Amino acid sequence: MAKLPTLLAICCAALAAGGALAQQASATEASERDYFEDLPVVLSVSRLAQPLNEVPGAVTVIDRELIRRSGAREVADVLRLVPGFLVTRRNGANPLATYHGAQDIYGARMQVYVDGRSVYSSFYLGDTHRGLQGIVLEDIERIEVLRGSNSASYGANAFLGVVNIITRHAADSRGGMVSLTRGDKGIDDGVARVGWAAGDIHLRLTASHRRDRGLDDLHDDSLLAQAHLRADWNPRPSDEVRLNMGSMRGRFGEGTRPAATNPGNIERMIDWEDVYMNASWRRDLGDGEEVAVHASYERDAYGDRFPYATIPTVTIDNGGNGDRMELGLQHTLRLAGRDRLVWGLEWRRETAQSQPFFFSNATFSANRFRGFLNYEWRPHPQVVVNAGGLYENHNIIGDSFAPRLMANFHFATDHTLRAGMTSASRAPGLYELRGDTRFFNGAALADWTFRSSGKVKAERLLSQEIGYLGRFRSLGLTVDGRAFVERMNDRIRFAGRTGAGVPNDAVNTPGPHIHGFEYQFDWQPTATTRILLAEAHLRSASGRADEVIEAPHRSTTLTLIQQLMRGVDLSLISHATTPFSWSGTNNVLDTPRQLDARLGWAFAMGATRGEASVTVQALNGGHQEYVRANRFNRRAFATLRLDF
Amino acid sequence: MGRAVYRLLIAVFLCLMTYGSKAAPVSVWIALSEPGGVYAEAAEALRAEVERVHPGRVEWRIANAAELRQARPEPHWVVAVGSSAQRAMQEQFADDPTPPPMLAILVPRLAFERIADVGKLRAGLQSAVYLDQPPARQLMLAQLAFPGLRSLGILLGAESRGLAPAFEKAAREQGIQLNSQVVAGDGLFPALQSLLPDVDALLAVPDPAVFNSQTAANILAAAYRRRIPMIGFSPAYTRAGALLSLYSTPAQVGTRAGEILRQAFAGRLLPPPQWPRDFVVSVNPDVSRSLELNLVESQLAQQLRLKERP
Repeated sequence: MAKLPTLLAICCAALAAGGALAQQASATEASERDYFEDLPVVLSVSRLAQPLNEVPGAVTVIDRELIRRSGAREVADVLRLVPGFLVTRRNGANPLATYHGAQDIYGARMQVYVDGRSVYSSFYLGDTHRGLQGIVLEDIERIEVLRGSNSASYGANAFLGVVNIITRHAADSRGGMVSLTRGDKGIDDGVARVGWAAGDIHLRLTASHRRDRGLDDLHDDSLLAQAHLRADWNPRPSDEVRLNMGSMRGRFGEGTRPAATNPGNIERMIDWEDVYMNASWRRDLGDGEEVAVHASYERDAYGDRFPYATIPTVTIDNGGNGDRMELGLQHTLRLAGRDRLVWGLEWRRETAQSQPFFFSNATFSANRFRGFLNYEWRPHPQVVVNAGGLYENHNIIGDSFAPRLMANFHFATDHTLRAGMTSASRAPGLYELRGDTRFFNGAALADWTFRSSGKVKAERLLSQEIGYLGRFRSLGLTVDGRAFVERMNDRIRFAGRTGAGVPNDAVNTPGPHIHGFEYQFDWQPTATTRILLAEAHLRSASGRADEVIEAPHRSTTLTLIQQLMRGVDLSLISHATTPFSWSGTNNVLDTPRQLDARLGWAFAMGATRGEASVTVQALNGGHQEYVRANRFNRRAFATLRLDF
Repeated sequence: MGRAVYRLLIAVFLCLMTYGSKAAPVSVWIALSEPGGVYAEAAEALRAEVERVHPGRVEWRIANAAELRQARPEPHWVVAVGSSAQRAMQEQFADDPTPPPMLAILVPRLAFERIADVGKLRAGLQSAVYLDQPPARQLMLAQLAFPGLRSLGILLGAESRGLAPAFEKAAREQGIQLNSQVVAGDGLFPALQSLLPDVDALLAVPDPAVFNSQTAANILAAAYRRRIPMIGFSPAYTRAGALLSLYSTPAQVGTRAGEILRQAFAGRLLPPPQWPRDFVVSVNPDVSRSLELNLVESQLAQQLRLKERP
């Protein structure tokens, strides 16, 4: 009966509106046509993300909510939440992350993608740590980390870990956003973002600056300014076109005091510039078939020139620039049953130009051509087998092939076992292949520190793993475990320097065999509590003591996210490792334990949403960072963010 | 008082009209909004249901509403299939002092109520078997599909706003937090952006200004980007990428209408409008797998029936 007044009102309104209106149902009035209208297929098989229990490897997904609640200011800090990742700062201006051991301080053995663009510096050692800084955390939709090596899908550099950063679709960032952070140690961050639509094209422009004074007692102030544009366009439901472009510019403190004890590394500022453009186009051809093409270009440049402290006539220069260009095609086909075949081709050209690094003004380049194929075979409804590989031709070091075989067995609903093996390779960078570093005093050679003989080969890694992924829905618990053996061969090192004037060369050395297990628990016991545990146990077998100590026996991150009341949440993150040493430092860290806390209050004022938060990093006082002498001391900062 | 007299007169008139004609056939017009398709499917199911119980008793005339405009003699009963047939038949008998009772089928509730004549509705001379699903059933399905569901989102437009009170009532009864967002002049994306962060699932509520063949793609894609499953209201939504859809097929609506009609033959009047009794739950297996949900169509439908009619 309660319906009648509404009914009357509707009928009266309809009558009052006049017969003419009632004659013709307009397009805004509901009718049965809404129920029988045909719709284009939007989420076709090829557009859907592969469920984690079918992925040929272990994956950790960190979504924007977790990133926000972690209180992180850097992507590297977020990666602490991933089992097996080690995160440090060589100094305050150089946050970095590596997977399975502290083998390098540039993250050169892992692959980092931002919206499909591979982020690394071609001019110096394939460094990814700077690229990881070149993104605004607020733009990130989620980070998918493929633990383990995955050259079979991602090519060289996907040697130990792939970090896949996906930014928000431009249509999901409409309106404006500003965020301001102020705190200890000169922390001064700001983000401004605007999202709008021009016809069918969605656009987002983000600008940010990040500034701090780094670690105490080090000359490591940093200032990083960046701007990014993302445009998304769906000309037809079957087509997705995306364009990303941006620019980063940074000034980073470097060097030690007093100059007399380390004259070749005096306190100074390094300049960094990077510009990139990345475009992709995907077309869904129906029935699970898809074609995607992408093209990207990136250029980065470093400026770092200063006099040798004790002999001012000698100039030290670590500057240079590099660029890379990439074109790729990928074709996905759905075959009989639900089998799937993915194949693709990729061409990449990278160049480097640096007089001091190559003792030449010439531009050095490397061309890579890749073809890859993966067959996803389902011999049984409970079994998925991924078999495939990637062939790469490198114009300097020749051909390589990285095969992979992985089987996932869904032995019960929500429970999957995985086993398989893969091999990976990491091609040396241009500096390792062609580098030549000499220092002159006037016209006289003062020192010769590096000269590549060009004989260095790619590093190889053979990895075997068994894994388990289980979901206990009634408990709100997801468990992911992985045991592995990773045999690295031909590890590239710099060796041969016995004294002044005798240069190093890039050479292949045996490399460690790492084995161990890692797991992550994601438990939501109640609607207001989430507990995450990420832990890795590693053992490194090697003939070299300095290599064995690069892998901490245990690294643990325990995270608690608790909603205290409506709109108010608390996060606590504890990260600890057993003693280990970063490669080349000869410094065993013995108290790397960090406790971070964040308290956030979300509020709304009309259509404006906001959040005020306070974060304290190293709440437990402080810890050693990278080497024993560097300390990351307690620091607090407050953030105010408004979305309107 | 006047209404009672009016109803009595109609009843007497009908009795007189059919007096002594026990064996005489009942005439029924089935007016279709458009020839063929879902309209014919519903009409056929209705006819089959009546014929099953009263074989040969009914004299059927199934035609487009426009073709029936000049048709004579007036039938005993009219079934209008679809909104435009409902409107046409209502107009046709608007000036008739003794119009035949009309049952509208395959019409959404809002469309039916907009067209229907309140007086005739109250007098039992108009009724409907709606095409849309009762809000309580939709929310029940959401709870069955997502056991830990905390908050369900709905996007409403100027038209579907009328359904908001019914949804809110059902949500209160089932202990679901309902977050609704009205798509206003500034468009769909701002509405999605403010709704999606707060919900675990999205329920599509038919409104051509919000869900149409142009916008559905954007809504489905935006929800999926946040891994938010959507419940649609037609098989097309399931095909397009909704995790699941709840709907009644034209045949299910037609069969239910057939039952109502043959029961009404005895009483001469129509019962109040009602929701379709039978329904289908369709699941998109690819989306379900991608979202790591284990949904089985038949199980969900069975559980929903049991919950609704224990």
